Amino acid sequence: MATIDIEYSQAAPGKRPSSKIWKAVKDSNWLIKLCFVLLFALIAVALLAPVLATHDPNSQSLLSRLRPPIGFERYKEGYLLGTDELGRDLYSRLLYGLRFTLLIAVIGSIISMLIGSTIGIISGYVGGWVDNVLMGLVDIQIAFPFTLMALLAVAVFGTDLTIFVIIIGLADWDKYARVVRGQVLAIRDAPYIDAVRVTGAGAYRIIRHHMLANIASPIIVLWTFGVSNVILLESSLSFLGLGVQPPTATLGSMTGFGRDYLASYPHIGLVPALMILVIALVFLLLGDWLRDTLDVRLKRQN
Amino acid sequence: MNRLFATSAALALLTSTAAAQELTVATANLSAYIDPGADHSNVGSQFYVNSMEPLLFKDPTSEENIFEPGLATSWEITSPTEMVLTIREGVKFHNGEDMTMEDVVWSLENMITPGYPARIERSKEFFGNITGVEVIDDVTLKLMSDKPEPLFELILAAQQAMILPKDYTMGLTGDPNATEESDFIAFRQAPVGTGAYSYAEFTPETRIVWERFDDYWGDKAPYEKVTVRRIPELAARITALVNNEVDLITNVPPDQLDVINGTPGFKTAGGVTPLFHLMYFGGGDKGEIITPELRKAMVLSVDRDLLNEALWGGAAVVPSTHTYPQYGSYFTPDIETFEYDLAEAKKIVADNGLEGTTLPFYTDPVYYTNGLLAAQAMQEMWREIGINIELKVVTSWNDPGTPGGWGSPDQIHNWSNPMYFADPHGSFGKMWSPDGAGMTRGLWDPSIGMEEWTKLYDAFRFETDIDKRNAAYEVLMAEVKKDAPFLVLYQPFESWGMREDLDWAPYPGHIPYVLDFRAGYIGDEKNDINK
Repeated sequence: MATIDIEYSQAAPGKRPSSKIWKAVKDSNWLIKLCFVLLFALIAVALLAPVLATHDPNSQSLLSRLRPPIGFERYKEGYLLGTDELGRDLYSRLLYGLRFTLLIAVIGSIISMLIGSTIGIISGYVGGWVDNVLMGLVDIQIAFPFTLMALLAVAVFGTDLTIFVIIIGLADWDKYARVVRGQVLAIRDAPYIDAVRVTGAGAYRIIRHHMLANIASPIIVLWTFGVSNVILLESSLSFLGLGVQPPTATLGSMTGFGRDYLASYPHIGLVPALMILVIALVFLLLGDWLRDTLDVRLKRQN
Repeated sequence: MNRLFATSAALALLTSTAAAQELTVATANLSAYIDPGADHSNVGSQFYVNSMEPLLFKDPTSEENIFEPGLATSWEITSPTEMVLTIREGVKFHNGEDMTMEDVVWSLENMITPGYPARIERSKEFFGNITGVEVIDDVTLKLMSDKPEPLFELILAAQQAMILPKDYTMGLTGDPNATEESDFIAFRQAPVGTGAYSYAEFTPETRIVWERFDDYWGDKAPYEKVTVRRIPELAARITALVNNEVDLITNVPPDQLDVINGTPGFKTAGGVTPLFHLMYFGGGDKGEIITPELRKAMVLSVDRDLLNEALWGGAAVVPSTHTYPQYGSYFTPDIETFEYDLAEAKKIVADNGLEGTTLPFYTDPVYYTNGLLAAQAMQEMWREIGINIELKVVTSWNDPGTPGGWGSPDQIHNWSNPMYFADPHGSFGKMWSPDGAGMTRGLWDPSIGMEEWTKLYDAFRFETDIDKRNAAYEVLMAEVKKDAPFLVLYQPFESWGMREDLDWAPYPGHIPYVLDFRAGYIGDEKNDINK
């Protein structure tokens, strides 16, 4: 059967989306601009960790353990942020920890997004008992304490990095599923979808070409929140010792190991903890801004 | 930070109301069960002497083996294979029953030929040479051994020889006139002994509450109530101490001593513990990766002096062989069993193509003081010779059947060999004799074969001449050096943090980690208790 391609959803043709975002960034307040600068700086630092690090993050100098950062008494030359409980360079571990934590966060949140959005689309588009079953699953996920689930998974499958990323990926899918389902429901019976349907387009084509484009912005906004959630989740699981195994540095595990020294050598735990704070804050603020920018209704109110 | 602690400590003092003669203790670990005959762990050993008693006491204040009357008032070794004891009268169990000869015989028989599987290892280790008991009259008892037994007194003073109530235990489940496995399982959660404190509450791995036992036959307990809480996190334990939530905390590593000693009103006490931290190779030779050459290279490449310097501030003791000063004439520091030789280790790796070998190392995060740090430090030392270690930090690291559990092959594991009594048989023998825990669990297959190892071991175990016995021990250590089944790291320097007015320290004559709060063994100004 012949299909007819029609132009769609080009309500305001002309300007490219990237130039719209660039304009929005330019119009934003100083805090958002600072967040953007920080975000790019963090990504650059994470990517350039091997170049910027002054030491191998895992190499120990046992006789120089527990040294404070520069400017304090007993500072050891060459160890800018001091050394940790095994005499490893805290600055280098921070860079590698950032790299690892960001990587886990991005992969984990993408897994969440893919699973959640797929379920949300199927649930919203198909409806009926499929919708009931899938939303039931979402309710179960929400009702189940996630740390307990993570503990269970680690107990059964062990503490392996792949398992850990999968666990992280399963943390947030319910939020995507709910939001996406709602969005799909709202546009499922919209006239333009009906119009495509009468042209004979199948479900895949309708979803892929006509629905996804319209529900992309809430997914992107949700994802930015997701990233910061996952960073905090990685941190808390690693803090509990359920995450990445030593000696690999992640911000959460570094904070976790530093807790024993909070009273005596606070820099070991504080340095990675502050980094977690900064990343989580940057992603949260940017997510907030993105929501305000992409949401047409909010824009009208303003 | 110290000022912050001092302020919060002062505030807590102001707000707390003085409770009469109570003590609260926070431990890093707390037992899952109470059964002196099955237990041999560093965790369990903390919680027996206050509540349960053996026939003979060993003077805890002395490193020498000085024996005192316990639940037996006198004893005599009548022949190399026989010992006769007189049982103390007027002793009551915590449940109100009198201790009788029947209880003593039943307790010993359940160690000599235990029906309860959890006791079999301990039975072999401590009572392997004891053949039986014979009642002479109402208060006199004879203990017999197979071979001449030079260690009668040490065995009878051990935790594993503590006397338990027969009728009470048998009546816990099923037939009250029969000793069933389920009776011992039930006893674990509802323990009863003859000691100065009764177990008023026992919540496994969480809490123990001791209460003064008013019918105690000896000096009454100084405290009305002692509460032990488990706080596994070191930082949380220290915070609980300086906030006056607890009076005493366990397992403080040397790098935290200044925090406590620098806080007004608090101090630390401790010392080198009669216990070895060690690492062993799981599953002996039953795996595919671990070979005798690999073991040798890994043992040679650990710089134990560096570990001591870095992790213990030089306060731990790195031994040349498996021996303790407490052994007296059987102390053998001249034997060189464990050496550091990086060049030789690298040569073995190169000659045998071992470079790139990868092995998991299982450890609990908090069980051993500095255990995880030592594991990470050794990981680096082994990386130096081309051996890759994947650390697995799991709390189930000792559970049989789990990856890394006892006996599972091709893994590295941390462990300890405490001195259960002051004789080489009480530490090395307890773990590595033919009936020792390490052998029962298959951690070492001696290259000379088990039959030959048994011969060598017995030649040492039952020798009574000091020089000949030491020579025989040297032969055993040569086998350890040749096979490299494990590496003794050090005797840790363990510390306890406490209120400044507490007069308490671990006793050198006890096995490691015993919390002894009996009369005469603790002083407490706040509670008006003199030592």
